[in-house]
Amino acid sequence: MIFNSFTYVFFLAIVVMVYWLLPRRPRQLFLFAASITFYGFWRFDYVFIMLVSAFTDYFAAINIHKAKAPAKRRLWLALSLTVNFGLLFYFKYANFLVGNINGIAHLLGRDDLLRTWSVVLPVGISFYTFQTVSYTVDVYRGRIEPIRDPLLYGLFVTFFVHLVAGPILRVVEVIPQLDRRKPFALEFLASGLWLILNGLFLKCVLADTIGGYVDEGFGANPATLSATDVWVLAVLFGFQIYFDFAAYSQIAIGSARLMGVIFPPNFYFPYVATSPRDFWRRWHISLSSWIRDYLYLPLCGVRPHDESRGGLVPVGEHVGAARRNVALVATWFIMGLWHGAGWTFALWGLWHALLILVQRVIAGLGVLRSHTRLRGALGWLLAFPAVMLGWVFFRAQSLDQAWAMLQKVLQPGRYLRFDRLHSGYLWSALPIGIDPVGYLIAAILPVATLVAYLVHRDLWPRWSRRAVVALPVAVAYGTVVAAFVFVYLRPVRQFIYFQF
Amino acid sequence: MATPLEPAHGMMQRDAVVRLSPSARIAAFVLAVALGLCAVWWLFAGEAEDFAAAGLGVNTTVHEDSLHYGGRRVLCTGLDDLDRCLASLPPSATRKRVLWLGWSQLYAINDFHPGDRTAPSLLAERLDGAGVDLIAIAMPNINPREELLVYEFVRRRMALSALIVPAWLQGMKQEGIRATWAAALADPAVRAALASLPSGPAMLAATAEEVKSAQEIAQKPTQATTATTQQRVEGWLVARLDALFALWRVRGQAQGRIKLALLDSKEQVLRLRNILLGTRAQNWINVIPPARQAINMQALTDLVGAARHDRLPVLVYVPPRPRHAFPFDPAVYAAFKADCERLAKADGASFANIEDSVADEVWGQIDNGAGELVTDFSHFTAVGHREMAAAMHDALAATILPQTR
Repeated sequence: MIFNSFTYVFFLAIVVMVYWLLPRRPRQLFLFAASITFYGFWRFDYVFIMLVSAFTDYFAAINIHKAKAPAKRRLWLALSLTVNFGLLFYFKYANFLVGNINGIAHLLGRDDLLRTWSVVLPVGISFYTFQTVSYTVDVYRGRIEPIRDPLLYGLFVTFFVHLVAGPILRVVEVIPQLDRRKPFALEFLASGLWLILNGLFLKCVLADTIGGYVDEGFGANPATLSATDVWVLAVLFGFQIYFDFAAYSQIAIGSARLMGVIFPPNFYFPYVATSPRDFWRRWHISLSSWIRDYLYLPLCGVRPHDESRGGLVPVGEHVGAARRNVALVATWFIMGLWHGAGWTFALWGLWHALLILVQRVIAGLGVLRSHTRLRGALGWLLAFPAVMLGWVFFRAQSLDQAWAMLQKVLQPGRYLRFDRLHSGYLWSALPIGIDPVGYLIAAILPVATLVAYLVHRDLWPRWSRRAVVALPVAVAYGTVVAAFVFVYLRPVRQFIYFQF
Repeated sequence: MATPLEPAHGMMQRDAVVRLSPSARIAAFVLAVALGLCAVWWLFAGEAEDFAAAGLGVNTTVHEDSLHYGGRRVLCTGLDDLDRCLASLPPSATRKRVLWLGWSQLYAINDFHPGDRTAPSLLAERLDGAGVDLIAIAMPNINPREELLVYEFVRRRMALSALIVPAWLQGMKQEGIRATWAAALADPAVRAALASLPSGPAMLAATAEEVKSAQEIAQKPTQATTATTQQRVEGWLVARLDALFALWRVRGQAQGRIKLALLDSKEQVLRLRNILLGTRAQNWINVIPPARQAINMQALTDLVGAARHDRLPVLVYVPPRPRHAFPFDPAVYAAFKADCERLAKADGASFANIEDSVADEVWGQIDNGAGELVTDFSHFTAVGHREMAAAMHDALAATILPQTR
């Protein structure tokens, strides 16, 4: 089921009402059934694949906990990882691998060595695979006890609000909340409704509107784009994917709130980040922390400590720079491929690895250490365009297209030139390679983001102390947002992260 | 005061309203939604705007009778009435079939009077005697990508003898494949033909959703069994809401008017650019993004190339336009015509320029988006249709008519 639809609005209303009427156990059963129904609205046959993935981990975790011999524990862990990543590989990466093998074979003079096959990627497989794997690994590491109740475990994996595109949650974040019957509180309703309304606005009004300009720009022949156009398209897509994914997260978090379940945030103004590392503390937080705990730290040879016992040990104190850098590059390469089976995604990951490496070098120089504000402003001026440029890899349909677009950016002469088209007539001094409204939106968005951040951080906490100010502001904001959501709520575009 | 809902770890993310009591926040939410719905009703529930008619200009209309000749419908606008047009063709193995692609210029008449006929209807009459049946397919603001799709679809349903394609600069502004033709993408042969052309893969990628749903519809017997549960339920819900609530029906109006406002803002951006750069104010109305024009020119090239590959005579023609009130930059327009002539001749197609065929006094008027009435550069009266039909007949006779098989 798609969040940006009236079907979901009605579905959620019914689920929430029934949920609060039921006692603990029937409530869990009902929620599990609702979650399966939610997934089945897309394809019921793929529910089975999800359950195979989930319950492999259920049994593996219990057996890991039960086993005394390390070899046996490792065996169960290997079984869990093989099944989970095997399914992920089959559905997401097998054709990519075949394509690459065929490409190499073509270079060696053999065409069509292997056949690709038609397979539909199960929605959300990347998300629930990471979630179930983290559960088994945590049991293996001895950080948590296995869950004995299959219904509760099944609910943890399939809970519809985060099933398809996250946030990627840990057992400790969800199970305790699902396992007890919270009494109803108006707080749940108040915060959940506002989050959902906000999320629908981000998706239906902002992301989908920007998407039209992005599709056209990236669908064009790169030869007709100027360097300015490439920047504008990068910014537009950067905001499209942000609004799209942040919208999904807000609707997911808001929907969970309506049932009294509190999820951690997944985004926090990522485009005000003052460094690449800061960006990843604000963007898809559940994924970046997952990657840190289950990939980067193990590659560094560091065992993640329980946060409740003092948090993570700084990696730098124990690991050499070479190993850290290799781990960083490997992590980001995998992070890129997690997003999509294509070299453009891998390059996007490597681009972020490069940015963080550069940041490490700059940080090592100790520049402007005592000028926090100036350092922040300069950091933003460097980080914002660097992050935006990376989106060109992410959105490009091929390596050729990504390269052709980036070449424009790298050539200073392409910025202020006269555009020539077909017969050599001149357009104007300002390149217009894409829809003119695209330029306007791309210029407004970064400024609007900074303004929204400052209002959110500095003004709103002050306003909200006084109901006489806060209520009219909230109603005025809500009126505009509700009107737009009512007009534009329709499932015209899937959420971008559904494909991952 | 911090909300009890703040997450236990990670960056703190405050909700939109954190310090008000929950009941105040719920009241604010309910009030905001109610006011939002009232605002939609107040702004958009007035007299419904006919967007198609607005695009056609003042007193420019479409009349079913004007589209017919000899008891058959000569012109169709969508897939749904294409079969009606094709079925009404006289059954004959010897007659030639000419396909004329175009936009609303072919079917809209300014200052209509009963008995007035469109250029395709008049041209069909002229060609009838020569053993030629004319089929015109036109839709508002057709773009070359759509023309390519229509051609690939129609040629698989009817043996064509020739093709007439407009070289229309305004069409280069347009994008996408409209819903009324998206179902043509369900035909595997059409998709395969498009995929083999330079502009095809990007076109198919851009219409992936339409292709997917069209394929699903085509592969299975009925829509009811092919749509996902989500689509069926959403369709049912929307239909119920549509039937029950007048406010719901206002959504379409609201979307249309906001779209028009966005288009107007585009013109304002270009106006601002002209002010900042001191460029001519004349070209603000119709600046076409080169990226979009490049896609459309490639599609036009592919269309002519595909038809020539199918051994059809092709006429690329420059359509009529008013001489003194044409909004495009003359240099831009001249270059465009030169491009079209070059691409036509490169593939062995014919080229004709009938831009001066319609007298200046028969053009209609249209709102320029800034509240001013200006000369409509697309539509004219029945007199103009007669002049255009005559000019087109002469052009055909001088170019592709002798070549048709």
